[in-house]
Parts: sequence; C-alpha cells; structure tokens
Amino acid sequence: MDIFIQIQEQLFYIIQNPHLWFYCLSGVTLGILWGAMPGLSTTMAMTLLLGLITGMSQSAAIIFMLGVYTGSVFGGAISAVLINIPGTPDAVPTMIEGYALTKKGEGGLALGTAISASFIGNWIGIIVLMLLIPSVLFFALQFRSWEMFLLAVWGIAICGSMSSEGDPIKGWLSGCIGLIVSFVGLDAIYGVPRMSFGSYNLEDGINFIPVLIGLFGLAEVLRVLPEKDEFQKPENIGRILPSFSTLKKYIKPSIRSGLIGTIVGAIPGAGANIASFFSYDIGRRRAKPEEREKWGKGSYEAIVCAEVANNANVGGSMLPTLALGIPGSAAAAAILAALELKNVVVGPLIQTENPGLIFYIYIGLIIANFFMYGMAIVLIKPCVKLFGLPKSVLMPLVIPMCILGAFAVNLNYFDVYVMLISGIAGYTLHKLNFPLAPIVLAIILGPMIDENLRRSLLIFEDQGILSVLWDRKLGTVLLMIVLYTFYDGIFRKRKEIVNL
Amino acid sequence: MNDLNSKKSDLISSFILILIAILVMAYSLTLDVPGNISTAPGLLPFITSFILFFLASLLFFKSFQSRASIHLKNDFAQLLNYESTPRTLLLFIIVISYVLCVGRVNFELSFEFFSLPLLFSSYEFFSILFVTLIAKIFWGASLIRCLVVVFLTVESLALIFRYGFGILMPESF
Repeated sequence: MDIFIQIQEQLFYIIQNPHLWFYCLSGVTLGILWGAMPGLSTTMAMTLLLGLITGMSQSAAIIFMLGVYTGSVFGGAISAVLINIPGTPDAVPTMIEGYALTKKGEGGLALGTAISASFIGNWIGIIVLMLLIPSVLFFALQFRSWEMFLLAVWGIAICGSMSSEGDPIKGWLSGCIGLIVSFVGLDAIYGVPRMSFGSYNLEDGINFIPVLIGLFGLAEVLRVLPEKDEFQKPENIGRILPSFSTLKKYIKPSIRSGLIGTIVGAIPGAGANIASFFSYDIGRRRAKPEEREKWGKGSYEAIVCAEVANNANVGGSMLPTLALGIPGSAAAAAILAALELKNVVVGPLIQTENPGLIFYIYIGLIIANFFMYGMAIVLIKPCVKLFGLPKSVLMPLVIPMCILGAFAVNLNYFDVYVMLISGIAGYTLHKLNFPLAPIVLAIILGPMIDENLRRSLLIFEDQGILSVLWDRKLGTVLLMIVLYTFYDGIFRKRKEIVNL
Repeated sequence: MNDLNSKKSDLISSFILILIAILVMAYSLTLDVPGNISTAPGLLPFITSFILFFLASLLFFKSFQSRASIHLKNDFAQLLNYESTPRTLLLFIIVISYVLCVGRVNFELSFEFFSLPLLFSSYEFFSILFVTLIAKIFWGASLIRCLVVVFLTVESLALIFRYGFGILMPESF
C-alpha cells in the first residue's frame, strides 16, 4: 500500500511541475534524433548531455536523462529500417529485417511495428524493475564489505566476459586498466597519495565522467571521422502504424523478448545489443516454420523480438544501477554519473538516503515511454531529412560538446585533458579490439573494491579461511560465482569468430 | 584492412600491458604502509597489476604461439600506407591543438547586441577556428559554408550553456 502512496506522491509532484514534462520531452526528442543518426550511439548521446544537466535541478536532470535513454535506444531503429545503417549497435537485427521490408515498400509499417514493440518493451522493463527492486534491495542490505567486494569484482568479470566478443581475457585486461586508473588519488583509509606524482589534480582522483565522455564521445569522433562517408537517401516510408490485430499476433514473442531484455540488462556490461541479438536468435528458433522462412528477408516478428528486448533492457539495466551501484551497461553508467552529479547515493541504502527517488524514476520512465511513442511517430519524417547530413558534418560538431561536457562536471580544465587522453586511449583500445565498457565500470567500482577489500581483510585478520567461508555463506556463494565466471571465460569452448 | 591483424595487435598490446603491469607493481611496493599489510594502500594496486601481468602474459603467449610476430614489420608498413591513417593523424593533431589552445589562452569579449549584453570567449573563438578547419578537411564543403554551420552550432551551444543553464564556460578560469 505504501508503494502506491509513494508512486501517487511522485506522480502528483511531476504533474504539479510542468517544466519536468518539458525536460522529459526534450530528452526523448534529443534521444530519438541522436539515436537515429548513424554513428551516434546511445552512450555517446548520454555522456555528451551530462554536461548540460549540471545546470539543472536534481529532478529535472534525472527525468531529462531518462528521456534521453528511452529515446535514443529506440532512435537507432529509424536509420536501421530506412537506410540500412543501424543508428545504434543494438539496432542491427532490426536493420536486417526492417530494411528488407523497406525495399518491399513497407518501411513505414516496419517502423510502426518497431515503435509499438519498443513501447511494449519499455513497459515490460519498467514492470519487472518495479517488481524486483524491493527484493534486490532487501537482498543487497544483507551484504557487508566482503560481499560488496566480491559483487563488484564479479561485475567487472562478467562485464569483461560479455563485452569482449569471444575473448574474455581482453575484457578483463580492460577491467584491470580501469581499476589501475581508479587507484589514482588519495587512498580512502589513510589518505596516502597513489600515482599522483605530486600533482594536486591527480590527488583528487580521476572522475569517471570525463573518461566516459572521452571513451564514448571523442574516441568515436576520432574513429568515424577519417572514414569515407557513405550515406544513402531514405526510401519512401508509406503507412506507419500497424493494426491492433497485427500486434496481437506478437504478444507471446513480445513477453519472451521483454523478459530476455530485462534479464540481460541486469547483467553488468551486457547492454542492449546483446539483448537484441539474443532475443532475435531465440525468436528465430521458437518461430513457427512459415514465419521462420521470412526471417532475414523481412519479418515483423523478428523486429518485435529485437526491439522489445533492447528497450526492455533500459528497465533491466536500472536494476543493478539503483540497487547495487553497479551499472548494467555503459549507458546505465551515464545514468549513474548523472545521479552522482546530482548528489544521489545509489546502492542498497538508496531508499533511506533518497526517499521516494526510486518511485520518481519509475514514473519518469513511464512518462518517457509515452513521450517516446508519440515523438517517434512525429519525428520519423524530420529524421528522414536528417539522414541527408553526412557524418563529416555532424562529427566535428561533437568535439566542442565533449570539451564543454567534461569541463562542466567540476569546472576544472584538468578534466578536459583527462577526456582528451581517454579519447585517444579509447580510439587505440578500440582499434586493438579491447572493449571499453569494462574500463568505465572498473573506474566506477574501483574505490568500492579497494575500500571493501581492505576493510574485510581487517575484519578477517584473526579468523581462519575455513571459518570465513563457513560464517559468510553469502560471500562464499558469491566467491564461487566469481571463480566460475573466470573459469568459464578461460576454459569454455569458444566459437570461432570469422572476420568478414 | 585498417586494423592490424587481431593476433599481431594482441602481441603488441600485451607486451605494452606487461610493461605497465611491472611498473605499477614496482610503484605499489614503494607506497607507505601506515598500518598493517592488509590495509596497505599499495595492496590492491599490487594485486591488480599482478593480475594484469598474468592476463597480459597469457595473451602474449597465445598470440606468440600463433606465429604472429613473423610478419609484424610488414603489417606496420601496411598500416602506415593505409589511406585513412594520415587523415587520422591530422585529426589527432588538430584536436590536441584545439584542447591545448582552449586550456592555455583565456580571453572574454563583452559587447552589446540590440542592447543585450553578450559575451564572446576564447572557447568560442578556438572552437569556431578549429572545428571549421576539421569540417573543411573532412566535409569538403566551401570555407564559408563550413564557417556558417560551425559558427551557428558553437554559438547555440554556448548560449544554451551560458544563458540557458548558467553553466560556467572554460574561459571563466
């Protein structure tokens, strides 16, 4: 009952403050436009807009970022369907099916199906988030320093495994690099300077937001801009909204894909792209033979599977972000950054430290979802015109935004240098096939790992290993999971990846 | 192909990471130990760099076993001849110069526009200058067209940050 009262309170708060609706609508609009532009990813949109939220109030900043997140995840589908270029990596399955339909003159209907599927996907993600967060928070409150240390290590380990496309060692190496960066500055227990080399700026530590902007903003510009521009004129789109009876046919795959998307989203590092590919693959296996025939040649069911999953991922990725302080994806790390910028302490104590905030986030996600549905229909035609702009016009304009975004976080130009170095490092690591998400996750979790490991070692000083393993059963289970993640990553039979 | 062959790039990157791991391990041993060893500030940096060393060595030997080192020299030559490499290097130089100029040179001009007090800062000046240069090189449109697009974007951005949200700009320090 208390939950409904809290939701009602937050809903009234938003209704009484129309400027919050405006911020949400702006966020969704920017997110859709940004996501629709080929080469501009969800994470890039969110990291670049972080600078802007420094001037907003806490509630405005949160609802704005939720709008950007919801809008940009869908936005990728527009260019994928209309011009065969995925706006975001998770829109690749939508591109395969949607563009085939566009060539048949059904591009509008394919997009309409994607819009409805995204709307359903977001709802599933939000409902699962609302249902699971109380239990996850209750469970997380049982965690002490040893369990928090293991959980954070597992977060980096699983993120390394999931984001490294077949070679977990590279993902874990990225995690180690991020951890080393996180150790720069004064240590949390004794205040001893580590790797600061006498620099006052380094003694303050390295903030993860400029690193995030460098890795996902500047590095993308450096990578994409020198490549030759290949842009196409969009096809004629035709009718947009599908009939209700058409959508009714896809209820079962929608629910299945929504659950897949939410669960994958809750795993650190496994972002929307893994969710959409996974759901697309399962959808193909489970489809009726006559529907499976259409798979790859333009199947509406395939679009539903991919789009429901990548949008349900939004709600799923918020679960570990809010309850444990471990972001479910790189985009969720940007949400975490936004919350940190607005002095919100996430983790097991979020309800105590910020009463009502979780309910505000639920309502924010629901409003953003409705706006996404409406704005997606409105923005399809302007997006078609935007595709006429080559990347070589858009990408240079991102650089001043990277500078402003990095500077605005602490009003310290040192952060801009951090962003520049991160951008160059991100470009190099991308070229060497190292995933970037584990670096950001490790920088975020580094201080948590350091503090909790040292604290737990101090507590365990007079105890034997066996007694620790026996007394801290939750910790022992987590330890087994961590060890299994490493074992699985090193010894599992990996599929041969064919470089096309 | 722009990227170095996967195994060969692994060989180089793992070697660099091994060196970094050794340096961090050595550095963490030099840190003070105010309490006992379990709370030493250098404990986790040492453990992390040791894991980095172990994983990088694993990657090094895996790629070494695949005889990746044999044609390494030719691959470097191929990479340097690749058509987008000079463009990438040029972009790096321009971006680094841009960031350094905004950080080093600070000025702010205030003027009135239809009785509205406005500011034009070093951030806007260098942004327009360098981004126009990048747009001219990579977009290839006429200089005037590049200048107009960049000017409008940078000024809109500055107006939103400075007047819309009251966020201080880099020239303010």
